[in-house]
Amino acid sequence: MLVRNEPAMNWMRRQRRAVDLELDMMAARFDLEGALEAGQWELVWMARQELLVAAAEIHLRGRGVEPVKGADITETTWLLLDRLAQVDAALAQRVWALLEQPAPLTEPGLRAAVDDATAFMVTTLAVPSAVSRDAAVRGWADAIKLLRSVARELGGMAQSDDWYLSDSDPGERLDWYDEVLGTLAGPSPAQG
Amino acid sequence: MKTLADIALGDDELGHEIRREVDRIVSSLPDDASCLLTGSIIEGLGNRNSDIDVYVVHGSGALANPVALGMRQSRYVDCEYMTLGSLDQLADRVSGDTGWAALLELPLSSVDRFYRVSVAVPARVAQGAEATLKRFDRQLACRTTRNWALVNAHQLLARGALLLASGDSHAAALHLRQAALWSCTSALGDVGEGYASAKWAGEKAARHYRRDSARHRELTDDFLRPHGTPAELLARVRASVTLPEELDALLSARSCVLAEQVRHVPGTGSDHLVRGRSSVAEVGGAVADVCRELAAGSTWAQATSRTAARWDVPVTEFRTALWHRTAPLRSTGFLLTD
Repeated sequence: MLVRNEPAMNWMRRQRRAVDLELDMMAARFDLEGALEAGQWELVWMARQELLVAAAEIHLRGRGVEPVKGADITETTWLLLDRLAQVDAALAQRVWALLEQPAPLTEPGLRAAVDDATAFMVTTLAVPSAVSRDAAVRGWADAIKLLRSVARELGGMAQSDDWYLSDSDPGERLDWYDEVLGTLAGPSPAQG
Repeated sequence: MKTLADIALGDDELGHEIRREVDRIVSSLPDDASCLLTGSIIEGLGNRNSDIDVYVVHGSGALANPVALGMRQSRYVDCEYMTLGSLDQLADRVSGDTGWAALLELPLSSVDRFYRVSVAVPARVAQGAEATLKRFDRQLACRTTRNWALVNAHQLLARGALLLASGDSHAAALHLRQAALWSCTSALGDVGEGYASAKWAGEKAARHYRRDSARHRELTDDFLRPHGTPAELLARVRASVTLPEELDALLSARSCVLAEQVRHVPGTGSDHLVRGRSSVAEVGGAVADVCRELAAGSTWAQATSRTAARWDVPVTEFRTALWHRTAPLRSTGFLLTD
């Protein structure tokens, strides 16, 4: 990338959306891994779909394109893939194909379809937070850290205080980042 | 209402984790605040990774942060802050007028919150909050989910039908799968599975009807693994979404006109609407067709009826889809509700 220069409010708005998307990725990865462990196959598929849509938007935004938000998630997904098709028609077709794939009826088939979608998101869409729950937590924490750091330099405008940590107030601190990452050091039930 | 002692949190790591978290939150609250546990874990659907949903209900005052997230080892905590007054308003909206017109204006977040409060387990109920919390009846919540989901299924079906008629098969299939998802959510609300979060629809169907039973497959296949063409999917979803007469009449009665100072400029490929000397809107497809009819003096009913026939979409579906598509024109003053 060369240089992208923009008004502070635009940047803040963009980064807030980036935080929301990484939060969507994180929530869907939690759902996916918990559902795989619990044999909740329908939830596995719903989480896979959510991940694909969020990853497609992260990819598009990474290319400097801001999709239009629709009236609901269905319209937003449609407008997102319509915009992606204008930028890269072949890539949009691959996302459509994954979204329209019927959920396999067997557990091995389902796991393979999840693995295929994950590989696509990580390798082709270049969204590292799609690979695991821990990576998604890291992606979310990174996105908030950047937002908070820049917001602090801008005098505290529009920052994201909507999270908290154990036994601490959601104050003006940035060391929460280490604490969030510290939660990843423990055993992961979904992976263990 | 259940209490913390009634629910099977267990003595395992999960149970202790939830209790620790709730104790921590409750100990930090002022006297006038209540604390409720809700969400998929309380609903009995959650798994080891499911988030802990906590509602903190303050007696009064403005809230600085409506939502807070906390990270834990295996899960995260989703803590939402609200006031008792906002819950009373929600109860007024849901229980005061459960007609279809009210439902059309009710956002999903309200339906979802009403159900979640109705099944919530209180960790602490502040003085004066009991009367409000008692207004959240689970049966009413299930009926609200059922009806709201039916309206949403119809709206998605209608939009899918128009997209299919426009030749956009990807977008049509996407809308029709979502219509099937909400049709399933409505059917489950009818049998007491009223949790309104769409992602749990398949698990609710598995819980109620047994996974891979005929009814489970009937309810879930069209959003999890639809077969055939989008036109075939449309036919199946149509068969599963039956509008009550009252709702059908309400949707058909909605009407709007071009605002007085709006002129219609025909073009090739798309038309334009010019409002005064300040705004221009480009309109295409079925919206352009209807605007052209309106500009020629037709009423909304005449314009949508004739255009629906040209697009080969049933008129109620066409009107529903057009109402959705023209929402930006109404919000910017190009169209006025009649």
